[in-house]
Amino acid sequence: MKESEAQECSGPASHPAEPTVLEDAIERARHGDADAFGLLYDRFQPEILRYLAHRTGDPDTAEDLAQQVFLKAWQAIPRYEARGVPFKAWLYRMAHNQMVDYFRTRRPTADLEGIDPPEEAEAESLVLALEMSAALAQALSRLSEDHRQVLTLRFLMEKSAREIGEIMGRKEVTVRGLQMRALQALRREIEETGGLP
Amino acid sequence: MTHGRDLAIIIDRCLDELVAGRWTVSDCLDRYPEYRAALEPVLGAAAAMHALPRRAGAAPDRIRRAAFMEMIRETPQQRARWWMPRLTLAGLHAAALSRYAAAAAPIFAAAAIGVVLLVGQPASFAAASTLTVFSGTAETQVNGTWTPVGDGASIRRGDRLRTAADGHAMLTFPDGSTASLAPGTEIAIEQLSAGRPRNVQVRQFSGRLWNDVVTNEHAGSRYEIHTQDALVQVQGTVFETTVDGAQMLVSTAEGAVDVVLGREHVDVPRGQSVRTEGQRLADRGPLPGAGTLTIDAPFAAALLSERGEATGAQPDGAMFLQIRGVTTSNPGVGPQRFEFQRLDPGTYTLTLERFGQGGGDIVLNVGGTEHRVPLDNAAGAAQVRVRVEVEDGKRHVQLVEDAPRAVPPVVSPPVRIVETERTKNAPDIATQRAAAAAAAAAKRSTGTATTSPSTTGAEAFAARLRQALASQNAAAIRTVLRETVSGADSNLAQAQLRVLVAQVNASDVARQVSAALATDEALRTQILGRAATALPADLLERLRQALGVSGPRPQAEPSPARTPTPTARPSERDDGRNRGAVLPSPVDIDGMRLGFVRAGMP
Repeated sequence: MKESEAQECSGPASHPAEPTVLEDAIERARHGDADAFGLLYDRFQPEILRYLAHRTGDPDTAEDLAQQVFLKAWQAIPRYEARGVPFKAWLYRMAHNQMVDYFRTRRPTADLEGIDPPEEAEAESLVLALEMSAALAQALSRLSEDHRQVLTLRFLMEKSAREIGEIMGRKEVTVRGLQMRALQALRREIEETGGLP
Repeated sequence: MTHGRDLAIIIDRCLDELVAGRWTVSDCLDRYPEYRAALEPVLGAAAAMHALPRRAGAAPDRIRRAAFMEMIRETPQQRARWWMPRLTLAGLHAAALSRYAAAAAPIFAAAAIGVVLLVGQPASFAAASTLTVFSGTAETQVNGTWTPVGDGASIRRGDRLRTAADGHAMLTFPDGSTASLAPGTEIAIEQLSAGRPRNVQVRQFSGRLWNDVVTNEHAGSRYEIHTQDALVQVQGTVFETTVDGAQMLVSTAEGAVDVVLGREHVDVPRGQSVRTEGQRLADRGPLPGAGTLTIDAPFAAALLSERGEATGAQPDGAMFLQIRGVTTSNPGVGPQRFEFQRLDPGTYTLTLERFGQGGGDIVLNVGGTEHRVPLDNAAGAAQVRVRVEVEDGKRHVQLVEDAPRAVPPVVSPPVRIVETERTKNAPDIATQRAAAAAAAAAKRSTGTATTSPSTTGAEAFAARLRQALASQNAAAIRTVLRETVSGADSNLAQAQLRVLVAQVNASDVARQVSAALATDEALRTQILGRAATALPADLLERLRQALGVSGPRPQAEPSPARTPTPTARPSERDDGRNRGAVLPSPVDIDGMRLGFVRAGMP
């Protein structure tokens, strides 16, 4: 993970220059400044979009969900407390909840749990495009939501255990245990489905 | 450390290095040979995950960003508003405020937020209304399936919403208008635009919908309720629509409502209700009133239901009408008055918060019978319960206690308001009250309303003058009096001189002012000179007499020291030409009544 990302996710206090700008934008957005929120959108939307794209496997759905996440963040930011959760982690939590809501109401259309291995025509536009990816996707789809989330954050979003803890609202030590069990479960699922190609 | 925890730490370390590209799986296994058996399968899965392609980040699409920015400018933010004294009230410190905020945060943070997604409209977002769920269940329809929706959810054009048999909910539209849903109510948002003009169109299928519609003077502005057979359209008003099959009941609590039945328009004025059946007017009549509750004291009051709905005002100027069947007037323009109509039975809490000095009463008037509850002068916040019972179809409203209970603000329940332009821009009640009183006094005297800065300036002048008089310091009194001649704003000077005239009507004040000016004849002359150009003749004469400039005063009339508030007929109004014996009404400023008495000292 890049050093700047680690600092940003850990909260405003850990970086002397960048957090000042972010902190100021957050504070102004909390008081209804839409332009300030636009700065936050520019800064964090690409990453949240990337996370949602990995989780949904569908760029269009991810775009819609990301837009909803930021709308929700705009509405709720007056109640955001910087001392609680770092802003980026706060957005991640919203994104996760948004995705869970989405799949709950639209299942089984696009959830990883119900996703079939991609057909050739779709392969290029989906995350799990290769044959191994399809096998992995199938195995991932059998994992619990916690396990899927921790693996996505760890490997596809390249987050550390500490950052994942902030996003998931768990202690770092808990995340370490969770990622270990997630990998063990993934291994079992891969073996049960015939292994990786 | 246990083996499991050891392994978890080692795996985490290996993952860090693997993801960073510094180690391979083999490197890790070589480094921790004693854990090889446990690590190998796990790291194999990790390597497979690591090999997955990652999506590249990119700057937000410009078109989407523009649409998003437009959307949030029209979408209200959610803020918790708390029933607490304003910062200016004595005894409330910043530390106490922090405690209140800390106490408030978990409650609101616990409110789950659900968001309804629009399918197939990725770049064209309409304005959103915000859902507040007071109790029970509210649901939205997604792909034909009803799904519970949480407090704070955004409801947009095309969304369908219903409350369960226990559900009490409210929609706040971008302009601050609200629609409260009773249990068993189902609606759909057909149009929703926050721009100017406003366009809110709701289709009501069943139940009761209590609408508090913000006045919007912009041409083409719409707020409409559509039913199977009728259209209900309003501008700024408070009304309720009840739909039961082909029947509809429209009740107007404030303003006026236009009900369209086919080609026929039916006007439903304030205090009236109509019942329609299909496209036919079936019945009309007065809205049965269950009583009034007047807060004749400088307190902002709010009635709170057991579910958390609130109707009333806060000292910061926020007003809200969330409880179906009761309305309130604005305490910023006079004594706050609640009118009860089809209020649900139950026990309500009337919460009062002081915005000015002085005492007074809570007056409950039911069927011409008054029940008065005096308000403690010292109380900053107080509560009294109101019980509503229904017997033989009639509502009975009564006060549960004979005396309000003083409460610290922190124990008072919160008022749940979605922040909109309506609440953000409201001036506080004390400012509204002072401006309204000063403007009314000026209008009675000159026939024209004063500008807001003048009335505000006059209010501040009155406060300074009272302070100087209380100090009994002649120099301090002269310093304040000098303001009437030193400023370039003639409107402000006129308003200040009117305040001075009102004050010197009290003989002791006249003596004080006259004594203070005895050592500064030049200032006395300046004041009277400016008064000669700013005040009408009768007020000028009154001031001259009070300052001991003119001859003998007219014989004092046997009138009370404070005249009651006259309701002047138009012909009697002091319009600057006909200034006979009619005097300006007393002015309420900062909770203190500044009265006018007839010329002459006892």
